[in-house]
Amino acid sequence: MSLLKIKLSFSGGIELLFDNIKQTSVEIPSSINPPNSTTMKDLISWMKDNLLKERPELFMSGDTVRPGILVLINDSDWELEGELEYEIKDGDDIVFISTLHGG
Amino acid sequence: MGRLCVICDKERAIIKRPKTGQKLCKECFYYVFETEIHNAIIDNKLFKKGDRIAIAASGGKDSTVLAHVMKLLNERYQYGLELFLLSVDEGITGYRDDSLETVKRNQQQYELPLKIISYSELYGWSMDQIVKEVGLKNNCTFCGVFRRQALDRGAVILNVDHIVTGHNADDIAETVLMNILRGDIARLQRCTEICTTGDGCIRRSKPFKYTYEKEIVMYAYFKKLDYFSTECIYSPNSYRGHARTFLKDLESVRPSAIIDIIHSGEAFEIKKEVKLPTQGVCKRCGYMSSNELCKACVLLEGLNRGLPKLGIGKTHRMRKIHGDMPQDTAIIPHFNKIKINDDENNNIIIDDSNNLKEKLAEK
Amino acid sequence: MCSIQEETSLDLNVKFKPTTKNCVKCKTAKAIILIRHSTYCKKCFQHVFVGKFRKNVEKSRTASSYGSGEKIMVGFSGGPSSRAMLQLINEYNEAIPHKRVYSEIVVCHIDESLLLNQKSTIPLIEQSVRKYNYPFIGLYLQDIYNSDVTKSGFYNSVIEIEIDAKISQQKDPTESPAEKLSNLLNNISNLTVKEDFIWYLKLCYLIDTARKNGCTRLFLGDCSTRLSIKIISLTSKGRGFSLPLETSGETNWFEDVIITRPMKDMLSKEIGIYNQFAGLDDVYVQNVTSMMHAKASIERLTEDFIVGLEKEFPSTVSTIARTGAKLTPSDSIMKENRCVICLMPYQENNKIWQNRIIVMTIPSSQQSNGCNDIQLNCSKNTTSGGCINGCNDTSNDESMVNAEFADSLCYACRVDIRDIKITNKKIILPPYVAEGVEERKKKINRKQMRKHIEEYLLCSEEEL
Repeated sequence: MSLLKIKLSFSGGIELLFDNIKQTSVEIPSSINPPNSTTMKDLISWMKDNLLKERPELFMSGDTVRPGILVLINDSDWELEGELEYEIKDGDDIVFISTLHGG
Repeated sequence: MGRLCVICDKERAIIKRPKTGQKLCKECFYYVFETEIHNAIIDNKLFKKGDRIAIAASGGKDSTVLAHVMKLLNERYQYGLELFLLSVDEGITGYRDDSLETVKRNQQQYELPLKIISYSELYGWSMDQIVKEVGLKNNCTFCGVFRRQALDRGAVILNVDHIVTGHNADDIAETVLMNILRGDIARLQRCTEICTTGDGCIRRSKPFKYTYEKEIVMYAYFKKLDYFSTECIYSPNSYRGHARTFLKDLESVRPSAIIDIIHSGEAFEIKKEVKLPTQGVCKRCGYMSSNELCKACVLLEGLNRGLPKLGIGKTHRMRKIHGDMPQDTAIIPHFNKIKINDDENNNIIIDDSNNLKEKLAEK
Repeated sequence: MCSIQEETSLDLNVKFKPTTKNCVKCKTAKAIILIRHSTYCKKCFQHVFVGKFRKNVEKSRTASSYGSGEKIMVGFSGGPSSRAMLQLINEYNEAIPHKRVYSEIVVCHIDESLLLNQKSTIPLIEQSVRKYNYPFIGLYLQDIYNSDVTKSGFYNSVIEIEIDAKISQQKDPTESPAEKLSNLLNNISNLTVKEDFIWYLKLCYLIDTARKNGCTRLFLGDCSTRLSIKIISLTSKGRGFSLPLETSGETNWFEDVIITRPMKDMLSKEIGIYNQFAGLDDVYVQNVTSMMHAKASIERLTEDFIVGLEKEFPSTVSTIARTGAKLTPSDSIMKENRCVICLMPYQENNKIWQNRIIVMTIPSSQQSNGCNDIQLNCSKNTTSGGCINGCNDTSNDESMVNAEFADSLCYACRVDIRDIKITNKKIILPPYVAEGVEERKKKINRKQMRKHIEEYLLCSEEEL
């Protein structure tokens, strides 16, 4: 199975949930849920299983990110990119920014 | 031996008071519960001696306890009020028909005259029929608008000065939050008033304004009051549901939050330059309204013309699109034409909708 | 009874999936950000964002009596909103270097690291603002206990509340400021109260610092998302009376220091994206409810509620902010009726209101828990100066101090004080609180003196 190499960044406090790492490069399977290509939805649940260090409820709500967490895909608002249905491409640059005070 | 009541220091404490967290005995709880309602009535000068008061009775916990407490305080403090029960029959099978049975039992227990006024009698539509037409989305709009008018019309028939409703502190706090959330500045200002009087309309007040819902249930439970406890089968929309959940969460974080929200609401003042709708009178039915036609008339027109969305959202635009109402559509009888039921000899007024229909038809 | 009176349909406000892929403004470039229901390209987004800031500062400038050349202070927490604000102020002020709007800009940060036993935030913050070359003031929250953080500049007496709720005024004890603040906040287990205290101590400290540095204006970075959360949380905490002052774009409540909130029209989403594009790195500063569950405090719960609702109904924040903007400070607000803790106005008679609707005693019983109970409950006929619990013994000094203190609080601070459960020794409130109590006492004394000799006076108070 082929791999996708993507860049993940965290800021606004959300990095605390990811071992205080602000930026990381990861390789994820191009099809986490075969036969479909890997989507944002797959990525988020993959991050929960593989990267998240603590308190999943502060990162996720249902199968998406918690309200108040911004997501940019290649400098573009993910709400314009299809949100959970967006298909991840090799080289994507994905940023998670928390706008919340309470964590 | 359990711990003693923090007020009297004699009896065993059996409850933790939701409003304050104090541990109280039964009698002291009754005392503070009733006294706070008495204070609200006295401090706001709600009634005069000799007033005729209709208690809006749905058979639910709030209105059942209200009827009980009104009768009790009226006797204890000699308010000198003449009390009536006034019920609205929205026509919801499996909900209102059952709860009206409770009201009829209350009528006998408290020996208060009862008047029931129904949607189908007044508007020609029951809620069951309305829901069939409009679905479950906006049905609460119809019910809320229709109920308000129905109560006022019932009050005119009973020739009372004043209607008291069972709205409690939780309801009012929730309404304050709702009005902020939907930006309804006019209602935000009005919703914490304990007593409202429209032009030519009957005074309406909320003696339970500062009374916690939980304490009403507690009171009814210990006093073994008979009430109907099923939620309406046509539940409210999701937005209000969010506000309600939030309020319950707030209360669990800090029990005084409900009173604190009402305190805030009472302090709100609106900038002078903000335009508020001016109150006038509906030209069709004579009910108070800030538009040419009151909401009830517009909603009814929509129902009768098969355009149930007419009164939802932007009324003006919808009416423009669909034009004026044809002449032959049924309307609500004009307010001035309601006959007062002043048959003093027949003190107990039971559901006499047929009788009323004739009276309304007489013109 | 069903409490629904009328529901307006909210159909229009429900989240929608955008269909156009182009910017609504220039109509040509590809849209990359969705703000409520509008899509923008990067350039137009930045233009609109900066425009909102400029509109607000220009409005406050035209209303200001200082014109150009005002010395201002920027309250800088290090969070995204204040980070963006500092950048915007800088761009705005340096746009025409020889015609600067503000003669001097001071950046002030208050370090709260003591609360969470973490290392100081000051070095990081100082580093992140260094490039602007503005004077930087880094303060520690505990230093609000210094005798010079007062109106008079030197007041070394404090209010103490002991385990048995005895309230007294004492000479400033010898513990260090850090010990006093830790002890205060450790005794407050209720996080709603803790957040309130921290916020108002910070605000008082900022105002005092601005004043002593000759700044006539304090910029605070509250954005519209934050303000709408505040509108709901202040309402929920019984602060409706002061809400318009605490959430408006501008207020002169502190007289010589005007508070301006130039970020009031931007959503936190806009700020997050602006900072990302501009490469502005914010400093993440934890607060006492960070990483906690939603019911940790009223503030935290409200944030969860509003942010969640905004996701489903993207007009939530703007509707709340608009509602808040239509509220105005009451005509009955009096400058001298300032709560000694939060410095916000209090309503006359709010204590009587509370005692009428929350009855805590019965007439025949003398309460067993004594006069000095911090649960500031009293009988219906209490007049100011009487004992808090309604026993009319004003002869002893302790109950005098107790009553004076209780009378100098706003409704919400009284609720806060009630929720403090002192478990460890005693709590000490900063000197500015004691100074406020004494100032109020003096004013009342003067009023009474005046009443006494009124018929012999030929002129009004102001003429003297």
